[in-house]
Amino acid sequence: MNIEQFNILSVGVGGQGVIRVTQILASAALLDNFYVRTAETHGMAQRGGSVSGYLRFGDLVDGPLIAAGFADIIMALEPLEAVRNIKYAGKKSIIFLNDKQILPLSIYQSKKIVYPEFNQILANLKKITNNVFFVKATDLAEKAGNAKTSNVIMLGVMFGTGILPLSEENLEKSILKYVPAKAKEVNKIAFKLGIEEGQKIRSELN
Amino acid sequence: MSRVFEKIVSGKPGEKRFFLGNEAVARGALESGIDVYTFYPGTPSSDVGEIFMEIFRDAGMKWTETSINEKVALEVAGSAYARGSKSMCGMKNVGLNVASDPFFALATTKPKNENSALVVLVADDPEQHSSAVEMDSRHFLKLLKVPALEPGNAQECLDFTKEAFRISKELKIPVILRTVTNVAHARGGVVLGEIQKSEIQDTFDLSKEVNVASRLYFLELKNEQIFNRMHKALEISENTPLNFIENQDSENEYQFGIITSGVSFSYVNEALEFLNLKAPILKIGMINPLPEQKIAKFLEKFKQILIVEENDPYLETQILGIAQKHKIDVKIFGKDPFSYLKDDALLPQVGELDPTKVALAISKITKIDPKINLQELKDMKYEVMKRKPVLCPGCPHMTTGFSLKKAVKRIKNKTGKEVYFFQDIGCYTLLAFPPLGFANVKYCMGSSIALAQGVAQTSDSLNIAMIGDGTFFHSGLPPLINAVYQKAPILLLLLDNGWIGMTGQQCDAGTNTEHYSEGKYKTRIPLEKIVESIGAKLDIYQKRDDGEKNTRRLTKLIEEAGIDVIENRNTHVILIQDECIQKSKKRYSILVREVDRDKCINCGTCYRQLACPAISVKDEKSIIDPSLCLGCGICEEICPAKAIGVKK
Repeated sequence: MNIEQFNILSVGVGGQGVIRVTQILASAALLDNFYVRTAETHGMAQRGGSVSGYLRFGDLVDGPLIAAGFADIIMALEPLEAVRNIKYAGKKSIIFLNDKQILPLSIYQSKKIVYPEFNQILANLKKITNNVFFVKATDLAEKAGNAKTSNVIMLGVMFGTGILPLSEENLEKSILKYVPAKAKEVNKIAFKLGIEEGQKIRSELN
Repeated sequence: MSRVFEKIVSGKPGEKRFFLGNEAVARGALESGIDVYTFYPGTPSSDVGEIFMEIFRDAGMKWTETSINEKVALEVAGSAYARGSKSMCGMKNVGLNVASDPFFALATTKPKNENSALVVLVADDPEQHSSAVEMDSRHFLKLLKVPALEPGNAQECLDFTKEAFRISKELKIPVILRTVTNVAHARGGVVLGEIQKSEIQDTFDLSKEVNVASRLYFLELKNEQIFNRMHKALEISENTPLNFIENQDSENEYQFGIITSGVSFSYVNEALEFLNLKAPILKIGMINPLPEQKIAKFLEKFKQILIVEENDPYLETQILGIAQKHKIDVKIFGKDPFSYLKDDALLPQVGELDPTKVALAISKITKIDPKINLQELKDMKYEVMKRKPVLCPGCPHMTTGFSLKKAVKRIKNKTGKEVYFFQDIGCYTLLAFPPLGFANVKYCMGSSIALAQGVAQTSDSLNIAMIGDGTFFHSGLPPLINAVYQKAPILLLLLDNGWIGMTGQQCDAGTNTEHYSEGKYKTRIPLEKIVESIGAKLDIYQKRDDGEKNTRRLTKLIEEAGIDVIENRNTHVILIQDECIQKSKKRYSILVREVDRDKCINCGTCYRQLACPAISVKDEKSIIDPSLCLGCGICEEICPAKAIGVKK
């Protein structure tokens, strides 16, 4: 398949598995014979800070960073992180948000710090693109058997919507390559559950 | 063989791999026949050292070490280089400051041994993703007078590392390899070459060519060796394919060309693609010495030039000089080295570049309509709450922070004295943020102890310094000796968690040698013996599980030590020994805690005063996330309602 460029920005909070998502997608894209670049901001990844993973593949890809407005997909394991990275969203972007909020600890220190309502987050993002979807990824991950698989649920959702130009076979192969040996089965289930959820969203895509 | 060995060493020539920039640097060094790698961890350079620590014995290298600091690392690597080894030394930007002292002498030496080569990896961090300053290490190139290469992607990381070794071996001069975060921590495809066997000789010659500290000799060396070698380096720079022109024959109506280096080259390509513009690009791979003639010839072809580079206008300043020297009538745009106004230049001197910023600059010069509002895109953001980094769940520094806050309150009440805090570089820096807020002054590695002395010697306040074991070994020892010698009335909290925590838990001289595989070749240096032998007053705190509250014990220790310092004006050290949870969790079973919601009175002690990421509030009661809790138990200990216990 020839693609000029496909850009996926994965964001979230340290510890959620954001970088892992980027690695899995990169591995799948490589297996599908694309030219691939990634970049990671993981200086504070273990420490509850904001984390971003940039994945790019296609014939016109050169550098590791996604240009503002040019993310094809923004996948946020924490909704507020999508708003923080809004400059990467354009009219054609598709945004997936895990509906699980993670409050920064500073919220307990100051009354001035307020976490916005999900409706407000949605409204802000919809100013840029119509394709914004909340996913109950953490709930689904628990259903799969482990709350930590929410990142793989999101991978399934992306694939299930049919917008990801990657093969299911290589995506699953890559997931299994990057998850711990004892968690392979639960991640397989999570990927399937995610795909089912993605298929539901498919008809709503503009 | 380990997974790392499999990934970095096992690949055959011609094989394709998907490597982190840092992994490609390690592979490039192996393909150059590296004998020695020394380093001090610093993001984004640490991965290279971690790789060599794991593989160097199996890969047949002579030596690798996590040195005590960058100065020592460069001295070990430099001396091995003089003796005839192919050495490499790695550090982050500010590490070069620490290593710069021996570097100046090293740059003048010329080893006599055929195999000698030395490459110094320096990783800059534009945007300060994980650095205290946004320092551009390239300015050192002019001070040190050594050649330097700057790769822009993973393949170049591999190729340029090899070229750096080649140039160093040919000219017998240290060569700097400069990366930035988006090169070191970006992944891309690489084609592997052949791994070279070590060529190191058993016999070697350390005579006369090595710099002895005589002024006359030094001056002689300076002329003979530095300038001659740099002249040869200049010839290499004029002819190397590392400095090349892309789109050589393309012309545009704006008589516009671009000069760039490193990762910025990719941003330029994408910006031009976006604006549907063709323009010749001079890409500089060898950033010192600059190819003067090549640049002058390039400048002559244009009326307008844009210089695109990360960090400071280092290339731009020199290119402006080249244009003047060659009397070339060309307008040069970029970051404008002579203006410190924020919005004066086309490209910012602060923060890292990206394709959007570059496209905006090009559209301003050429007046090409980008069809979308790039300025608006570049500046677009919604103000959302900041997510400050926090300590890990179960971090021992939480116990320290909690106890310190209580103790300080008591000291203030009892003595009426002011208390000031002097922070150092490490995870415990995060205690500077609410709810604890322990920071008045913080400079750089190892500075907390002397900073406390500056105020202690000039006031009757209580001055408390905080430093971790890694940072203490790095550069905390001289200031502690100074404190005792000068009878400085300070309280030092020596936070010994046994590892260099912040950069990913590398070992240091105090790490329990049984807890890492290289440990069997090491001797552990006990901090308590160091402090005792210097003559500072010493208390030791260790976490215990004997029913007595750890926070109560530590609070009492700090309170008594603080009052002792105020009353007797001596140097007092509390050595707080509690291992980094990221390491200890692997050896102990984790007893996850839970909140008994019937007993919880929502007093906020746990979630307001500890700042543990595992604790939050739900329906006006505390709640512990079992997937995050690492079972340290401090929340159980401090809960006034006894509502927290081991999860059933």
